[in-house]
Amino acid sequence: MSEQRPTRILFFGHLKDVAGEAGRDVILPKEIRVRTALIDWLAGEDDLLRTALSAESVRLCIDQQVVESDARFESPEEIGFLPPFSGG
Amino acid sequence: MRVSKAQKKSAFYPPSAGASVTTAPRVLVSEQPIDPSALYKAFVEEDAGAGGIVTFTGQVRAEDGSVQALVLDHYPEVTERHIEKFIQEAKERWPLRHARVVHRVGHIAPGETVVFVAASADHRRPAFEAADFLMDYLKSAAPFWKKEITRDGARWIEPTKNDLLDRNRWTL
Repeated sequence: MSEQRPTRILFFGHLKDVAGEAGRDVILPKEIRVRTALIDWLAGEDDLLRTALSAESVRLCIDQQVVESDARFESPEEIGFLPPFSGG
Repeated sequence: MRVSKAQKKSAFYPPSAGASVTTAPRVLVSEQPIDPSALYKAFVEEDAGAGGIVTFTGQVRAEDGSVQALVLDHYPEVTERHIEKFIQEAKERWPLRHARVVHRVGHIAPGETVVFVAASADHRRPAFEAADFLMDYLKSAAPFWKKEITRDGARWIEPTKNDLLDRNRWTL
């Protein structure tokens, strides 16, 4: 078995402020394959971050594709947390 | 959001008849200041055969001096691909000749340009409507996040109900 690749976690908009960082590289445990488990694992004791990431309006982007909230994933290269968009 | 290789290639204008090949990117997201006059001039020069050209320039409102700056966050590559898809969609809806979107990110001061949209067509209506459509999608459907820095602090701006209503006009 080859060594597991790291997954890059990216936070955007206000989530950057809540997380205190733009992102981090992690080795995602193999059993983490859905959004809820991912958020629990990422947030740990940080309830503010857990609440912010869990908001219904926050969308998940797996390997640069916006996915449904119940999407399953397996060791992706990149996971972005996207709050509501506001441009222009 | 899937973008085919063909679509990626279409990020550049096709050469128009008799003109030299241009390489102005159809979509540009950058921290560099935007010069709307220069963009307008280039757009017109690249499509001299158009019957109608509509441009929109969005600037940071000063709000009576209370706003000190906007800070725009984006998701590199993903944001550009979303905008490419909107342009593709506009081209399927209207008989457009060309379209261009330039969006600034980073720290932007009041009075400075945030976004420049241009659309050209043989006649005016498709150009007007496509520019309007592209702006509505840029406001609430492209991965941008906007923070307003005021005298009293900073706040992230959520899309307004009107922003969503504006966008929904095109799905009816």
